[in-house]
Amino acid sequence: MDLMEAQQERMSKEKSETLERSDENTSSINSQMSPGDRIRMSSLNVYYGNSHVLKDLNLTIEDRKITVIMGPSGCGKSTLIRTLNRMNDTVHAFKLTGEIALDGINIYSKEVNPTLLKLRVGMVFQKPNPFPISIYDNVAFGPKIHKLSKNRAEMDEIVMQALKQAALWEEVKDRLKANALSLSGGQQQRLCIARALAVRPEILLLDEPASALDPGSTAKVQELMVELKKDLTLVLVTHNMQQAATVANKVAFLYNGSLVEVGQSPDIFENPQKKVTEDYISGRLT
Amino acid sequence: MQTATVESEKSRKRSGNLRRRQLVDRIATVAIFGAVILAIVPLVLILADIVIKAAPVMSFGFLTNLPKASPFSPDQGISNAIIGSFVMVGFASLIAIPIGVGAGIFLSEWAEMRFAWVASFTNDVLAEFPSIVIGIFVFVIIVLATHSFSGYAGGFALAVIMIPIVARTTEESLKLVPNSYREASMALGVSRWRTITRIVLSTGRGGLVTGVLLAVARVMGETAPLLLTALGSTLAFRTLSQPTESLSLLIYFYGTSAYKTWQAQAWGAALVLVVIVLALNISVRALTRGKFITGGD
Ligand SMILES: Nc1ncnc2c1ncn2[C@@H]1O[C@H](COP(=O)(O)OP(=O)(O)OP(=O)(O)O)[C@@H](O)[C@H]1O
Ligand SMILES: Nc1ncnc2c1ncn2[C@@H]1O[C@H](COP(=O)(O)OP(=O)(O)OP(=O)(O)O)[C@@H](O)[C@H]1O
Ligand SMILES: [Mg+2]
Ligand SMILES: [Mg+2]
Repeated sequence: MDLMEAQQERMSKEKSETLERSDENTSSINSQMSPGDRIRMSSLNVYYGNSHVLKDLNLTIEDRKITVIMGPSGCGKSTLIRTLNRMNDTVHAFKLTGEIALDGINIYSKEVNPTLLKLRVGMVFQKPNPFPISIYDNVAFGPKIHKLSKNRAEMDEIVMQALKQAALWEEVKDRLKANALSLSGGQQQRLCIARALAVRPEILLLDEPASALDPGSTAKVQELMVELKKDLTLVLVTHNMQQAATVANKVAFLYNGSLVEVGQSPDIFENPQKKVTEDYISGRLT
Repeated sequence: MQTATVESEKSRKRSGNLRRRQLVDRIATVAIFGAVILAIVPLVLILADIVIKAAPVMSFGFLTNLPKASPFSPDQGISNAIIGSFVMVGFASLIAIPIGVGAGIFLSEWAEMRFAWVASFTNDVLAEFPSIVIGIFVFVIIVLATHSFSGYAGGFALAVIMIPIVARTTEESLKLVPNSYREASMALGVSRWRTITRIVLSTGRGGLVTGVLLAVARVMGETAPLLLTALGSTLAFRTLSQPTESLSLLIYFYGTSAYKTWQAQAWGAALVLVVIVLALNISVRALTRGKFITGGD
């Protein structure tokens, strides 16, 4: 338990360091933010070369809530969440205008260190991407680099906790030394969730984390998300309407790179305001 | 009626196509096997020829004795050439492996930079440079400047040849590491440099080691650049600051001499050189097949 406290302390220290460095632009943006907001996107435009992928988005992500991004394939969901922790920085011809503020600080400003940002804003990718090393080492990789444990026993504990949270522990506890690539698709997906949780991010971005999971594991991952919501802010991309309806607080519907509709969870499914949203929900969108 | 005729026509055509494709497939397979045999035959012939011609001089003493001034003295050997080759290649590796691997990492991991494109192009040109030109270059900047042929100059020339090879193979093996591994690591708040050292290098190290060993094998046999730099020597190896013998130089001088005994020794040295290069190549094979390549730590 004191381990958790130590991590919390480290996090808040890093956070305040990032904050201190940009006091000037903090105040101006802060005034526009309501207290419950963690992330605010304003007039966000994203381009890959000449193609305009995200168009003038304005959206807020609330603290310790689950925000679900929905929309047809290719509408820009992955692009959107990848811009939230600057995962797109290294993508060729990526260009962004507008602003994304995390706790009032523009994450694309010079003051923000992209590496520290990713430690705070973790991510689970659309395609499972475990390292070609053992299951144990996959989960321990982040904690080892960030020195989250003092000894082997603590590391074992972190790894076990993360695997349990991701509902994978029972399946792999006897083969932690096995290569992660020998896991099934669904197991790899949960391993990636465990790996992201092990470094204890404040915000977790999940890009279709249950796309290859059976109903049982999907249910477990959903329970996990609701559980995580107590300490974490979650952004979830999913095509699964039922999953969205179950876990979401806020739902944002993206179509062709534009934000069509944003609403609270049951409302948007029961009473969509826009025709495209209704068509998408009822499966009539082609 | 009509549709039925069209259908059967179609299926006849299709099966005709299939038979033709199977025939083409078989011919291609035979042709490829033939090409492989043709490629292997010269290698086997050369190897057999070397072994037969080297056999008379091969002995333990041949490997440990020094050359003699007279071609007719007993107990001649090539020990100085063996040591000289290893020391010069070792010196070249000390320079070329860190620079080559570093350059390869840059070319692969910072490929989006315009400078990387220029560097990559330059590297390709350098890799294709005739080795004698590199020999002349080193002759001018080191041998003339120090007023002395030396093992250092030889080793330096070999290093210049090795760097682009190591850089190219490092670049290529690191580019094979899936980008999703880099993204996974970066997403855990791991810096780019640590991602490279912990994930990219350890995943790509198989290809990297292969490239380094192949570069070593390649310069082991280099002759032309050493003629202008290391010069060769009949004395025991003492220091790299003096003219230094190598296996390739010894083969060149003995092979072109007028004496049967020295010509026979050239064949002996050739066998030693071939065995060293083959051993390097075989260890590459062994390493790329073993756990070393795919396994994590
Ligand atoms: N690296 C890239 N370079 C160029 N275009 C890209 C790149 N990544 C995505 N795109 C394009 O941007 C658009 C949005 O892609 P994105 O991956 O964000 O879609 P998505 O909503 O996540 O779709 P899906 O549900 O299929 O995952 C697509 O048209 C895609 O082709
Ligand atoms: N190459 C491998 N080496 C060792 N074990 C493996 C390998 N591939 C799969 N397994 C194991 O075999 C079992 C079945 O794997 P498989 O990939 O067939 O599952 P699956 O039914 O397709 O699951 P999913 O729905 O998650 O894709 C799993 O326990 C998995 O860990
Ligand atoms: Mg996507
Ligand atoms: Mg499967």
